[in-house]
Amino acid sequence: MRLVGLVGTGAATGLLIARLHHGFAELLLLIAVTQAFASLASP
Amino acid sequence: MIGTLGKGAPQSRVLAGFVHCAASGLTGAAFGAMLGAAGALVPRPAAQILLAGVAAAYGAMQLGIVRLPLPESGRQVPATWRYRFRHLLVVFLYGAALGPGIGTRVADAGFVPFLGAVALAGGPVFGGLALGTYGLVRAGAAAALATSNTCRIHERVTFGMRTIRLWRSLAVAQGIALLMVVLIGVTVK
Repeated sequence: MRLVGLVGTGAATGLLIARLHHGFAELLLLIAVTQAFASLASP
Repeated sequence: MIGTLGKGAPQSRVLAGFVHCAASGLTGAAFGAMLGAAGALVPRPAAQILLAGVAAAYGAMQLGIVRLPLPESGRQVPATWRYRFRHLLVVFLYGAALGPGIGTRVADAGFVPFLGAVALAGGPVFGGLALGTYGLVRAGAAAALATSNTCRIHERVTFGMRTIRLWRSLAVAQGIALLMVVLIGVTVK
């Protein structure tokens, strides 16, 4: 259920970015921050 | 690594944190700019198809459907540097090794589509900005943990492992969003 929610949220966000033609750079920066914090688990 | 950054008096820890962040941000930015410059040579339709393929494949890995190779060394930062070099040089070298993200272990498969997007959809300037941000945040978070006086040493070191589920969940949603955007064909360029 949680996974379905995450996939749905991601798909909706992607569609919104594509429809607005705006926000791709912000999405990549957000991914950069998320991956940076995730990397703390493997120093 | 957090133990190394947390060594010494508070002032020395702050200085070490700044040096570590600068090194990580700079090497991340340099690597991102190189990736972006190299990716800019790939023609647009091929780049989009390639990126969609990478995003789909590693998205499936994030969901636990497949297992694919990761661009990583598989090692942690070398512990021997701590005994071989001066403290500030060690934190600089650790930062430089961590900034590009492929010098140690990759914690989440979503890092691969991120690198792909930086290379194939960003260009050199955005590539430098994106991976520079990654390096800066990665080192900044480690330095903040190391210099935190309210955190006990055990809490500092295990922070990454205690919060990894949250970051992996966010990374799944972001990976799907990236795939959708690439499939529809909107990029930075």
